[in-house]
Amino acid sequence: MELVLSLPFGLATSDADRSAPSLETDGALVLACQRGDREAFDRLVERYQRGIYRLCYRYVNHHEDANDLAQEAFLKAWRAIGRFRGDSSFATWLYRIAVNACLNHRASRRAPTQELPEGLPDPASGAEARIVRDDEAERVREAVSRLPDKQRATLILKVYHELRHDEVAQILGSTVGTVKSNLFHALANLRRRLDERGEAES
Amino acid sequence: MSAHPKDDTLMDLADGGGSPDARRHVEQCASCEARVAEARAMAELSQRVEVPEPPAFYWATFRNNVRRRIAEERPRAAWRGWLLPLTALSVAAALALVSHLPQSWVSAPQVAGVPSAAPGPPLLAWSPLPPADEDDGLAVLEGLAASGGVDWDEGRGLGSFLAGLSDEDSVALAHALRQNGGEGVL
Repeated sequence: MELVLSLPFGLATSDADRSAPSLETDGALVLACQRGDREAFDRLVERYQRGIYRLCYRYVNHHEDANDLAQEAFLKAWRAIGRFRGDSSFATWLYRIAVNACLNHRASRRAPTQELPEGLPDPASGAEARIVRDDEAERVREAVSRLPDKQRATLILKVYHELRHDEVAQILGSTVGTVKSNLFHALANLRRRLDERGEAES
Repeated sequence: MSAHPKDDTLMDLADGGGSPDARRHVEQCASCEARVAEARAMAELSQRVEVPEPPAFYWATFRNNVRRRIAEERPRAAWRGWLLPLTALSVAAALALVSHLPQSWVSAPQVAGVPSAAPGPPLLAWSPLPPADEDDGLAVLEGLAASGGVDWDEGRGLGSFLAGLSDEDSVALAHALRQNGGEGVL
C-alpha cells in the first residue's frame, strides 16, 4: 500500500495526522466510501476537517457559521461521493464543494465575531512572532470577509491555502488569468477597505 | 515606455514572476510599481493573519456531528428511492382517469340564469396519453374488468364508469381485478 506522507495543498489537518501519517491514500478511502464505508469517510473528514473549517472561517469570519458550512460541505461530499470519478484530486473536489457552500452562503445574520468554544488559546499570546496582533488580525479577517465573493474565494485559496493558480482555477471553475486578476483586485480592495476602516476609527 | 501590463501580469510580478518586458515596464512606471508593491504587501499581511484555532476537542465533536448527520441521512435516501416511482405512477393514473372522463364532467358547471361567457378560441390541449380509441392500456384494463365480472355501460366508456364508482365499489373492483391477474396493475 502506498505511503502518503504529504497531502495535497499541505492539508494535514488533524492532530492525529501530524503525529501518525495515514497509510491510506485518498483514492483508497474514496473507493471504500463509494462502497458505502462510512468509517472511510470518517477518515477523510479527520484528514480534511481543519483545512475545510479554516477555509470557511476565513470566508465568513465567524466560528458558528464556519462550523455549519464545513459540516455542510462534508455532508454534500458524502452525498455526491458516488459520482466522484477522480478527474481531479479528492482535495480539489472537496475544496470546490466547500467554496460553493461559501459562495452560496448569504450574508450572515450574525455579526462578525471571534466567539469560539471555551478554552481557545489567545492567538496573540503565542510565541509565533509572525502572527500579527489580535486587533489587527481581526481587522484583516473582517476586511477579507467583506470582499466580493469571487475575490474573497480566490484570495483565501491562493494566499491562505497556498494553492497554485491552476488549482484555484480548477476549484472556482475559472481560468488562470481570471484567478490572477481576481487576486490582484482582491488585494487592492483589501488595502482600500483597511484604509477606510482606519480612517473611520481615527 | 510600453503599455501598462494587465492585472494578471502585475499579479505575476507581485509573486516574483513575470516576463522581462513586464519587469522592465514596472521599473520605469511609478504607478505600476506602486500597485505591485501594494499587492505584495497585502499578500504578506494576509498570510500573517491566522484563523483562531479551536481547542482540540472541537475536532472530535465536529467529526461526531458529521457522522451523526450522515447516519440520519440513510433512511431518507431509501425513502426517496420508492417515492419517486410512486409519485410518477399516481400522476399517470390521475392523467389516465381525467383523460377518460366525459366532457361534461370536466367542463365548468352551467349556473341557471347566468349566461355563459362567450366561447373563446379553443384551447390547445396536450395529453401524454393517446385518444381513448387508440389507448391499448385502456383496452387491457377493460379486458381485466370484464374477466373480473365487472359490468359497465360500454357506451359510456370505462373511464366514466370508474369515475362514478363509490368508495366501496372501487375497493370491490380493485379486489376483483387482483383476483384476475391485475395485481401487478392495481
